[in-house]
Amino acid sequence: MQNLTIEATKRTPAIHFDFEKHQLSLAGESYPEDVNQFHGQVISALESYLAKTNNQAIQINFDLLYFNSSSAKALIRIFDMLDETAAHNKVSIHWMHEIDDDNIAELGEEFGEDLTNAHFQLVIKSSPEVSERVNE
Amino acid sequence: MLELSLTDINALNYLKENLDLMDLLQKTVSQLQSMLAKSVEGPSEFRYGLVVVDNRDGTHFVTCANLVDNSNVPQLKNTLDQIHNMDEAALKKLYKQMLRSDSPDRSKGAGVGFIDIARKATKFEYDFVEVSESSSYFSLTSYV
Repeated sequence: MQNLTIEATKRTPAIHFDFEKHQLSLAGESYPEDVNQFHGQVISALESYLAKTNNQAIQINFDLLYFNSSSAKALIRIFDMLDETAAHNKVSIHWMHEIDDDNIAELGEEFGEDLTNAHFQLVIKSSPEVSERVNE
Repeated sequence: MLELSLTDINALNYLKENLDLMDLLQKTVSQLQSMLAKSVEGPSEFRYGLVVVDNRDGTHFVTCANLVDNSNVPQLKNTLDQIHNMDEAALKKLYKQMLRSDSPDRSKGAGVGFIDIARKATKFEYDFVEVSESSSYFSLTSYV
């Protein structure tokens, strides 16, 4: 399956899904003009990839500075998909944020706390150490 | 789609020093845009909104106002009344519920604009004033 790489724009994040290495990342800002058009393709690609992926260790990094509520809707959908696949794959989610960005950290935690199978971790960007918030 | 760009450098710097205010402003503008977008095919007076950012007794607040069709007032008021009565936990729960809902209505947005504001603000007020047979002036003020 072909990797998905989309360059960042002012209003949309950079997407880099390396399906062979099972490493996925979203980075930048998200407030697209047409949410369905942008996130639709991201979710669609993710769906196809997860449908044929079993017993793998999947690493996904979210490095978002800002996202609007329509994007939040797409993100929660992605989190739900990841949690579902974590029943038969090992899923590790890293939610990156700047050390003083409580807003983004909090939003990430809210998504993360609903997870039952996937592993969620907050990661502070400015330091090499990892700030760990493991879900129960 | 409307795009807001702040060109007043003093205003921009001020907001960067008051991130909670900037966040509330962002959410308010987003919600206002959402409302205006829905009336883009209607009478022209419904396509304009205003946003005010100010400080009263040391507290920052953001006010947005626009004209709405009288037929929309009951539902709008009902939604805001409900949100106004909710505590933090209830708001969070509703927020996620709305994000996860698949209603066809929400083709462009997530329908959580007011919830977003309610969660961010310490308190908020709203008012509807009938100005004509067909329209009312709706205003919403939220405090940092």
